[in-house]
Amino acid sequence: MALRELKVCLLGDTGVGKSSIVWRFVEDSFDPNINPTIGASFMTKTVQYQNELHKFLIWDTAGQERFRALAPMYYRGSAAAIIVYDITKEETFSTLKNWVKELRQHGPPNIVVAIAGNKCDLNDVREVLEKDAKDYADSIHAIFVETSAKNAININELFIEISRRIPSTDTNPPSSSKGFKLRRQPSVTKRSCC
Amino acid sequence: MPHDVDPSGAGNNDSSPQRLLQNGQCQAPAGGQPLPPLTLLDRLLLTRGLWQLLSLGPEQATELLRMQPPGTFLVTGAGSGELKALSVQSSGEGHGAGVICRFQIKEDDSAVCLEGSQLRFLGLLELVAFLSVSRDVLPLPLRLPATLQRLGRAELDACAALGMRFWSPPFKPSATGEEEGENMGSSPEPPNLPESSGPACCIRVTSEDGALCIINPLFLSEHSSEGWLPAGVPPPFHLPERGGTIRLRNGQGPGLLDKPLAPASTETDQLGAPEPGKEGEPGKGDDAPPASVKRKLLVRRPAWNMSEDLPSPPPAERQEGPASPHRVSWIEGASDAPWVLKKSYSESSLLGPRDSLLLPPIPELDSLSVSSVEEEADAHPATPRKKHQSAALPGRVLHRLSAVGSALTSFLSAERQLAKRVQELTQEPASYVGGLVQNFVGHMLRGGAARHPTSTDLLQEIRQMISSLKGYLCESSELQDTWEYGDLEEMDLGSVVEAALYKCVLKPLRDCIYGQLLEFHSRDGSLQKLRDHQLTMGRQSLAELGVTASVPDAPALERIQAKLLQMHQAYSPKKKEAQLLKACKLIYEAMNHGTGGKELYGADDFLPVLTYVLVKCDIVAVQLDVEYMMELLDPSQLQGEGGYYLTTWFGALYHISNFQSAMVTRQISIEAQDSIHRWQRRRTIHHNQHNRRRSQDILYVSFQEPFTNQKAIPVPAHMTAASLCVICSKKYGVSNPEAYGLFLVTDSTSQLLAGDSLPQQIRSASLKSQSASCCFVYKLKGEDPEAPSEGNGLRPAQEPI
Repeated sequence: MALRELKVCLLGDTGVGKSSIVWRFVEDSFDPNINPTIGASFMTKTVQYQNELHKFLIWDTAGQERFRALAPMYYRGSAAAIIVYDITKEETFSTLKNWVKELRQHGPPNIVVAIAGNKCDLNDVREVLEKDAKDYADSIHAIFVETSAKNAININELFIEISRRIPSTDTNPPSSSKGFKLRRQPSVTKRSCC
Repeated sequence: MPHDVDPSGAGNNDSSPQRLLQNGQCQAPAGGQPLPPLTLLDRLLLTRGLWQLLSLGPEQATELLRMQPPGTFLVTGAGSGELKALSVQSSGEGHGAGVICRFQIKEDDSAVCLEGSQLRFLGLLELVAFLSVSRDVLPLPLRLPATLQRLGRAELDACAALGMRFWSPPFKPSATGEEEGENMGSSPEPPNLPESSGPACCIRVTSEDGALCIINPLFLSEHSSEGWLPAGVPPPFHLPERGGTIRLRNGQGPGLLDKPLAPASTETDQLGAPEPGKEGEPGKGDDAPPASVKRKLLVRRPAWNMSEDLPSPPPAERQEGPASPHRVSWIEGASDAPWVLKKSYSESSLLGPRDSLLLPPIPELDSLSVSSVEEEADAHPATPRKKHQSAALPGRVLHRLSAVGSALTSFLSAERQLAKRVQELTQEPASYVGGLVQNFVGHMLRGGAARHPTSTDLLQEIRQMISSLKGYLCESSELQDTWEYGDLEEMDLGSVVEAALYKCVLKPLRDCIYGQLLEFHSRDGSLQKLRDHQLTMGRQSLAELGVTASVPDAPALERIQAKLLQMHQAYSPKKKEAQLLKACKLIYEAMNHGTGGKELYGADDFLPVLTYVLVKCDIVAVQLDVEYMMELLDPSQLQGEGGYYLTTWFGALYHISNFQSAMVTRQISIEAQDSIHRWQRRRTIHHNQHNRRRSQDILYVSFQEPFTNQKAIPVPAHMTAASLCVICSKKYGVSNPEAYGLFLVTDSTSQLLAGDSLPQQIRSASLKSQSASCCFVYKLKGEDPEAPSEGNGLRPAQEPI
């Protein structure tokens, strides 16, 4: 079975749950008292997707402003970026839009963008409407999904969707299974999920 | 000896080749029968005829020992009345040959002891054995010559028959003596490492047949006996013409028999540099060794120059014959290892020669690209002396030694090549990881380092970056694509990458980091406080400082200060730690100086003396160094001796900076302990929970105690606790696995896991159910092991913690 490496970075405001999403995905665990990420933390998880193994190399970046300047070095080489906002905090959605702009300007041209509206278990205190976010995501051809790292909602789906967006090796015969450079792959037509 | 956290010094060094043995991979080459272990006592007994020369007087012993490596000893019986005397070569590093200490041995009907010592032994053998293990009595532990440490029974018998001739100069250049020759006047080296032996090579021991692991020095000293290599293999070398150049060939073919003779080079070195104190450049001397030797010396670089301008060999020097990976290993076996190990010793800790042999700090070894390997092979002069003909050992011994040497070096070279590959990758901005490293370093240098609220934040970010890069390099194909992954199986990939990353990240950032630390602590006033108190305490008497032991005299203080300077200058926290441990060792030596070993001082005596020393040193630099180490060392390095002394130093500095007159402290203050405790949680326990599990399958298992001697073990979800126990028993090298079990330990409980339970599931469950720290511990089962309950795999709390 072919093994492909997918470099993914997580971006977004501080406290929106980037690390929690990664932890839920990699460890299937949740810690309500997680500390703010310092710099960026690296994790991996391998999942099977169709007839391939996809090894996600995940850079979970810090959301705090002081680490902001380092973000480009993580998204520059990434095949996909997951931009996370907190559905209970309107301003985190504004930050997300800034991230999208930055990625469009400075990110790799074919980077797959996924938007994750986290903390969807807190529907009572929601500030960002799902429809608004979905419309925005569609307008930029991004993956969109509302997630809850706490309740394990849509976390795996988010990564599966990223796997789906990455062109399979069958359509790109020259690529080898090892050392597959995703950033050189053209991304398939953008479409949104849900 | 409360200060001896881990007297063996080998407790939990993951990178130690010792681990290989524990992994159960250290088997003799195929066909080898079970090897009877040769204990230290056995070895001493077998070689008694060599080290106990009762017909000699101490003066003659001094003469014989003059050129021996530190720790070499003789027991003489003539002269000084009836008393036997123990003579020990005790030259410290850098002092060359010369300092021979002599101790009178007192014997009466019932016991033997050193004069002035309370430690009494049944016999001389036991005394010597104890002094070989303990580093608390003599200035340094006794050591048999390196050659004797790795021979088996038969060879030892053969050697012992030589008696005094073993020590006499004509014998030295032979295969047996080469070791001594090589070590002459140099710093002590890990004695068991089969470094320089290789006069020949065994094709059975190549990088491919997995025999790399035989380098385990413990294994060598314990098991090197007849079954080591198949009997009947002829010594695969012949004596070349004097002065002839040996042409090297592919190690696989019959050309192997054209192997260069390692003794030739070591001998050259030895003859070329008869004076002590020329360590590190043994080829330099009056004897005008072949130019190639000199050139080789120029080529050798310390590790921190690893990737920088390694000269490529001039075409004329390139060797003929096909290139082969095997060649790398066995060529180095002959030529490279001695240099490497000499360097490596200087990096090891205060663990004295005997202990440090267990911990060859491999990542710190000299760099060596494949091309330079080839070059060195060629640079190897073949100038056999007539003394070779006097080689008294059977060819098989030489053969065996060489096999060991080549295995060692192929292992080392694999690590160095990996380290070099990491460097190359990170230096190349076009590579992904190169982009990360260059961007990060650039960002820090351009002022990113100044944006942090506290020094801890700054250091944490750097540590996090190193950890993440390490995780990335270990996990992604970027490094492994260019690497035969099979070679890495027995290598601690993480520790090699870690050391390489120090160079890529910390070397360029060191000055910047220190600048920032200085600024942070100048701003918060802590350094000024430290300086003020340093002045105040400098005026205090020893009694006021609570000192009860001897304090270092001026020369000793100078030596300590030199170590501290080296500590300050290093960029690698691991090297800093090594210097810190050396300074500790010097302080202990000074404490015991003049008491004749009558009194052994412990940790409570150490702290006041350390405080005294710190007051006399560049205390600001030490303060910054301690912080640098505490935050930047890999968590696995914070366990054991290094972590212990680091916290002791932290405590002493804390004491100084919070000094109030009339406050005598012989223990680390409660406040400092609290601070250390918080730091430990942050750097080890917290780290374990959040940062180290980068890969879904990795489970961290501790040995005996939670969060100590942790090993990362890949545990798939379906692996049972019983299977994991089997792995653990090998990893930790326990001889009675049935007595051990896998426990889930939390703050208050310790539960034995049933054999059929699934550790990964249990971990997920415990992560979900509780926020308290929990840890898998492989440890001895209780006295009354009940049958573990089935069901969820947990059994009721067995023992409170």
